[in-house]
Amino acid sequence: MENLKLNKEGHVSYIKSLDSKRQDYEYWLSEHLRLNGVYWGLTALCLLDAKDTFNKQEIIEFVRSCWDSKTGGFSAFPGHDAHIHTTLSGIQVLATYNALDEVLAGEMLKQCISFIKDNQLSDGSFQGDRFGEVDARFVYSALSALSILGALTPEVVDPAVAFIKLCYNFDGGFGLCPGAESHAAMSFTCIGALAIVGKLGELSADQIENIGWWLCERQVPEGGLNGRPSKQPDVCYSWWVLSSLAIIRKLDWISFEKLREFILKSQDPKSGGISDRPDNEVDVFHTIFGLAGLSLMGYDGLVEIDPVYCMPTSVTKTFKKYPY
Amino acid sequence: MSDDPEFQYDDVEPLPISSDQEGELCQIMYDEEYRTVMGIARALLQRLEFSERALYATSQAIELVPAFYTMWNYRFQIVRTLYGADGVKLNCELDWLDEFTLNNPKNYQIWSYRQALLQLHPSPEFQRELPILQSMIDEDTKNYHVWSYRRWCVLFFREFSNELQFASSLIARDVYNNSAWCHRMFVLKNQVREGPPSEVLTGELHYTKKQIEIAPQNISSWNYLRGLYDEFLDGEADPAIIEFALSFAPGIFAVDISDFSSQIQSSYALEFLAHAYAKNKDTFAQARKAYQALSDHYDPIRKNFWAYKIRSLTT
Repeated sequence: MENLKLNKEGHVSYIKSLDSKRQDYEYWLSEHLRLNGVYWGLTALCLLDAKDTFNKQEIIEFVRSCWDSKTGGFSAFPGHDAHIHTTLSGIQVLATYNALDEVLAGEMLKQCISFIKDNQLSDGSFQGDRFGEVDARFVYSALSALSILGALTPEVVDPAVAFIKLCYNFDGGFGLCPGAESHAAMSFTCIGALAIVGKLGELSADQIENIGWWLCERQVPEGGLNGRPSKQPDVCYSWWVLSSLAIIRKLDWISFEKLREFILKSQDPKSGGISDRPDNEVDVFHTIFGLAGLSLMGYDGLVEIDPVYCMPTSVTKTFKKYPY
Repeated sequence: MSDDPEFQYDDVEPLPISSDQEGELCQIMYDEEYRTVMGIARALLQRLEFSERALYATSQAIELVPAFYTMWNYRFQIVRTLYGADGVKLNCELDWLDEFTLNNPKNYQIWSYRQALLQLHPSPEFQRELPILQSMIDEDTKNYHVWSYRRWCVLFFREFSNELQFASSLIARDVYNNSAWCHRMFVLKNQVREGPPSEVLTGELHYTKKQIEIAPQNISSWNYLRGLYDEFLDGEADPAIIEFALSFAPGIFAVDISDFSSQIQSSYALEFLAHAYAKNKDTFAQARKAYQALSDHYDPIRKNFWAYKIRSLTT
């Protein structure tokens, strides 16, 4: 275990290489996630203290090109429909570059805020777009985006909080919607959303303890975390579980050493990048969430990440705290 | 696109892929197909053409990129415009979707699309949904989206009568299937507004104990047991259930605290006991002992959590 080391240079060059693969079929297949991918890559670079690896101007231009003026949100790629999730990614990238005012101002900003708010349903939940699915992920995306834009209002927040509380389950976890099986990623979206709007107090002390118990139960004896009971561990839960525990201040309920070992064993020691578990193919999604987990545990000299926004704290400390 | 002679797209100028870069002369074979299919589908989408050939173009595009949600949205608009509430036509669309679903089990746009179709349908039937639900669950018994869709159907059709039995069939195949256990709780919480009748609860307690006997070290069945008490029985564990839990950690409260070397059958039984003992000052000593045993011996990875539980006993 002592010889396990975070391959920082490898990860930087892996992320840098992602955009030079346009001739690959997979590149086109992942078009519907492109803007999310840019956010994951940029945030990973920030944690590695290598933000300048991406060309800032090019990235900002790409975000701009994803603007869907018909609906007033960002899409994953030019020509796609705007979606709540990609809109959040676009806003996160712009905020990280301190370029929100430059790109999203005036009418455009107004349009974007309405796009997000108009996707809220009468039960407080959000749909991803006009036709799409409804669930807790989009509640988080919407509240996070509105928070970064400083545009939260009680009319949006209060019903959203009511919906999130319905996603809480008997076992201490949160489901994708009321009645759905508890899932670690949903713990993050629900708890993160409550934290963003300053409503963690809506959960009772017993609930917080049960939530913490369910989350720390996700650690398997080998050290990794799973997303649901009796499932295999996966590096991405290093983020979903740890961030939730950090928000409710129970981070130490996880064994750090064993989790770090699991994440570091999932690295590609040669070309960089992190995979879902040891010996699998790496991707940018698991790379950022592995690094983010390590950062939350304070390991390997990584830049500090905000467990609520999944962005560097140096960026999020400028956000206006709701209630304004 | 040329493999179906029924449709002509000669009048459609394919939309170029917008980020075309120089230096991509060395195309791999797929790119050409991708460009043509996507180019035509996007051109039709841009002019909002609602036609049979547009419908066909979206199936081609969706087959290439199953998660392209913009195409799913467009397809739904086409179907709504062309078929409206024509049940026969909508059944054909559901048949197409069944086939697509079987070939793309990991995709999740299929499920929200299916919900939209059923909501449009003049006479939707739960019966029609059962075969595809069964095939998909057979393929992956913990598929989150399939379980979500099943719950949606149960609520949409208000048809709960087969659900406990369905969950039992999955639990019989794999007693560790947490999704199936959660489905039971969903039924109990939603079938009857006032909560499950007492004979149902008794049946569930009996069923759960039997499953725990089959596999004592199973977090799902123990969580469910605790859930039954917390949700419907005021959280009060009765002597019978305490005795049941004790049978999986025999003698644990008799041995000295330094001698937890004995094998127990279930650490979750010990947790269950600790949880019950921690509710009453008179049994704090037992609770402390159980937490200490978990910390030292049976679940040391969570020792900080157990230490927290021990600390909270004194407050």
